Amino acid sequence: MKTSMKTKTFLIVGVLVALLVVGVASFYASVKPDGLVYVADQMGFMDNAEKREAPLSGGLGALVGAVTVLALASGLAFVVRRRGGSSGEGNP
Amino acid sequence: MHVPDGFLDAPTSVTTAVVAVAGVALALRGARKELDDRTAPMAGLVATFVFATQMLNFPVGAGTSGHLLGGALAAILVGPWTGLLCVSVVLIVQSLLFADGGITALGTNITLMAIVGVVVGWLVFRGLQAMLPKKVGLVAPLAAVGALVSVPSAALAFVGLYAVGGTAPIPLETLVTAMLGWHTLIGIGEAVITGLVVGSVLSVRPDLVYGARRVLKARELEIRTSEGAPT
Repeated sequence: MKTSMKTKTFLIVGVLVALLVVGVASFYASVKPDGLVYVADQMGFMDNAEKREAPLSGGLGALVGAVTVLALASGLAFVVRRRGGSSGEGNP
Repeated sequence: MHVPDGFLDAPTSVTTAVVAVAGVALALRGARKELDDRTAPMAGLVATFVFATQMLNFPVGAGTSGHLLGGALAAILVGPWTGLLCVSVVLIVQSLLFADGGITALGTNITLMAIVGVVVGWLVFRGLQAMLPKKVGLVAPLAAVGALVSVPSAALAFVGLYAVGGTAPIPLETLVTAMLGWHTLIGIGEAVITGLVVGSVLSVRPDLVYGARRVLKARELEIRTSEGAPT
């Protein structure tokens, strides 16, 4: 067997890559309207959209959002798994 | 593809909210079977990665852009039920904290991106995997195909909802053509990102890719049988 990356290392690297993507996105993401908004603009139903104030925005806001998602999804997985009472792997 | 408040009328939004709640409830049950020592720690990472990559809008043609929906990617990395939960968490955070996608439209967005995205992406991937040779090298390309199909499918589902409960009268044929055209292009971006990410995880930790389990098991059995066979 070739040596493979430890799970902990993999997860830490993975989260760092995700945070890097957040950083890159806040500088380089296209600011053009996405497919749906573009189509809605062209066809004239974008005016029906109700605008809202976003509690968070900008690069720092995005980082806070990423950490929030990490905490919520990890917590949810933990709770669902514990309530399911599954242990180990290869459940039927 | 985040639908804002106001595009769809109240009855349609209520209906998609019911669909979303039912989908998430089913996923909470289904995910129990998927979550184990490998997928459980991956769930947080996959959700964070989908959140991050959804922000990275890439240019598509002139004047428009697209971003990853992430349903196919999440399903193949952690399993369809857990994937549905991951994308739903992302959409809830985006709606509540970033006003990306409406509040009354949250059910619509979960239905389109989490449910349709995951289900179509996963079924296309699994269907092809069942028909083709069980090769680890095929997992990333098949994930890409699932991703490619999932985006125009979600776009088509939006058109269906709009046909029933759109708040402005729009010629449906034009809407279908425009939505499918742009979202097929966006689907190519989705396919590239999904293929690259699944391929990268496969190259370091193939055992952490839920969608690769069947082929890895098949390979293990083959090795064992050939080793164990008396010569």
